[in-house]
Amino acid sequence: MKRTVFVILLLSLLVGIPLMILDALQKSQSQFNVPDRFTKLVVDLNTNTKADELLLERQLEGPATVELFIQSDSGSLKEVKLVSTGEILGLDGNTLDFQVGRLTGTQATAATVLLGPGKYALYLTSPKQAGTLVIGYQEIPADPKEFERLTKVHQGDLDNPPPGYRKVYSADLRGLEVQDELIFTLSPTSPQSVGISLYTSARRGTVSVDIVGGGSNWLSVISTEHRICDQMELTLPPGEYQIKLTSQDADGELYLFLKGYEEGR
Amino acid sequence: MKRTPAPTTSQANVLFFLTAVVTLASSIVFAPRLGIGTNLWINEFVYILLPPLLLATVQGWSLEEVYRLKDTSTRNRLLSLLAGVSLWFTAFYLSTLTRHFLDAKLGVIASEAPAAHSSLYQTLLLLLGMVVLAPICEEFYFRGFVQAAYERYSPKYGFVIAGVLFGSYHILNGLTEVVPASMLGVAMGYLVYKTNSLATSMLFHMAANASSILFGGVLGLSTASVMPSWMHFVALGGLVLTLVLLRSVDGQPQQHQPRAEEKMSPRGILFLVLTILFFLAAGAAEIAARLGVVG
Repeated sequence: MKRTVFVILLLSLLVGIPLMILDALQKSQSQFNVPDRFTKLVVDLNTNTKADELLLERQLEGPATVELFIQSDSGSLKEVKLVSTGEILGLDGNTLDFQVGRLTGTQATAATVLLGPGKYALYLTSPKQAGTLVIGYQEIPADPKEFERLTKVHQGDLDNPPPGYRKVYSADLRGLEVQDELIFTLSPTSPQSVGISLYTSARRGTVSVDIVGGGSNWLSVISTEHRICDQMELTLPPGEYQIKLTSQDADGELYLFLKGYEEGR
Repeated sequence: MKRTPAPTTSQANVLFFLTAVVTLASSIVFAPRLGIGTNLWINEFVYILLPPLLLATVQGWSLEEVYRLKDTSTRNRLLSLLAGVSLWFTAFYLSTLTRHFLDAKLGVIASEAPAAHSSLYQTLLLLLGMVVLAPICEEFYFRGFVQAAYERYSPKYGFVIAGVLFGSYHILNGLTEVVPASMLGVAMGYLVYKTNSLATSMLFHMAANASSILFGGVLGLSTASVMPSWMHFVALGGLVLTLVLLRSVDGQPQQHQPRAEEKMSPRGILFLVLTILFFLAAGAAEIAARLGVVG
């Protein structure tokens, strides 16, 4: 009996140690680059076909900004779905979908959402395939006052800029049919850090705001699906940057606020 | 070190406290970095198997006589395996009931689904660890070492105390595991007490852990949001069947019985109290997490 037990333990070690080494080698050869500040979920896609399989469930006691960073080394499309019982500010429903293909190295699908208190969960739909999906997530408690302000924006009261921001443009989108209409021009003469907050209450039609210029494009900063772009910080080299609006068959309003931009500087 | 003819409750309590603290601290460090499979192997080999083995070497104890590392009849082996499977259903039922109760009264603890941690190697390590390593190492520790010590304290009910200690140790896996693991621990303790063989409890433990993987994991009982109604009957039936199976085991109790009752030393009492406080703190931490007081 004693001999049998120790032989089993020895054989276990002979099997287990190579498994540990192989696992460590696999980790060291990882093509993923999730920043350290994220908590990582690693999902083996080769175990079974996944249909809305629960990956993660979290409880938010208060409003929080949730950042997601998603990478995968397999080519087939996978759908990652974030479902929240609390409100997702800036979105119509309580669900946010991500289509994830092969994204390794510096490539990733990233999102930052502001969630109300409650549970949120991540689900995965994916065919069985060789490869791994890595999801980094981070929760940062939101300032209750900021959450209250953005909730007002979310509910359609758009004239609620963050502290230090000033309104440079607003429009009633009902009946406004424009395509790439210039609504504001940024012309810094020296490198300048600019904060941009763009809100719309449009829920139908087509609404998009693009920032174009200086060799950089930020396309569809907001849309009817993502109605809030709050405090986006851009460092702009000298040049001309055009903020353009497209609105077709839309409803609601649009507000643009800026911080730190001084004309002629 | 003072030599003793067999483990004392003082030795058991000191080692048990250290094992619990080190296992928890080590798991916090290693599980997220090395994976839950590798972490299980470290716990089983380094903190659970090694200390009583070293102690036996230092003290010159016979593993066969003191830890009862000896074989038993084929009939006893078979009955132990069957009892492990049947009692798992009762344990699973109790665990699920406790989880539903705690979820309803205290709130749900945020957790990551097991799939989120899986890599093929970690999964294999976890399966092998659960079915082979944990039954050998934990039985060596709890039934071989701790139970031997407590049978000197209470020859008749030492196995019950060791079983409850085994169950309370599982508070590190969650409050829901304490009662079911205690029940399994007492059953395994009884097998060793009756047969004088660690083989019976090892086989029981293997069968219960394999059932957990097979019925809990593969058949999806662990992840089912609502308990199937037939589980009420299966759980009760499992308990009754286990009692019948345990009674049917051929006993050899006399070989290790004629010992004088030993009093617990002040040091033993101190470490037992420390262990209880440590487990209470672990339980309080889970309650605080469920209530949302801590993350």
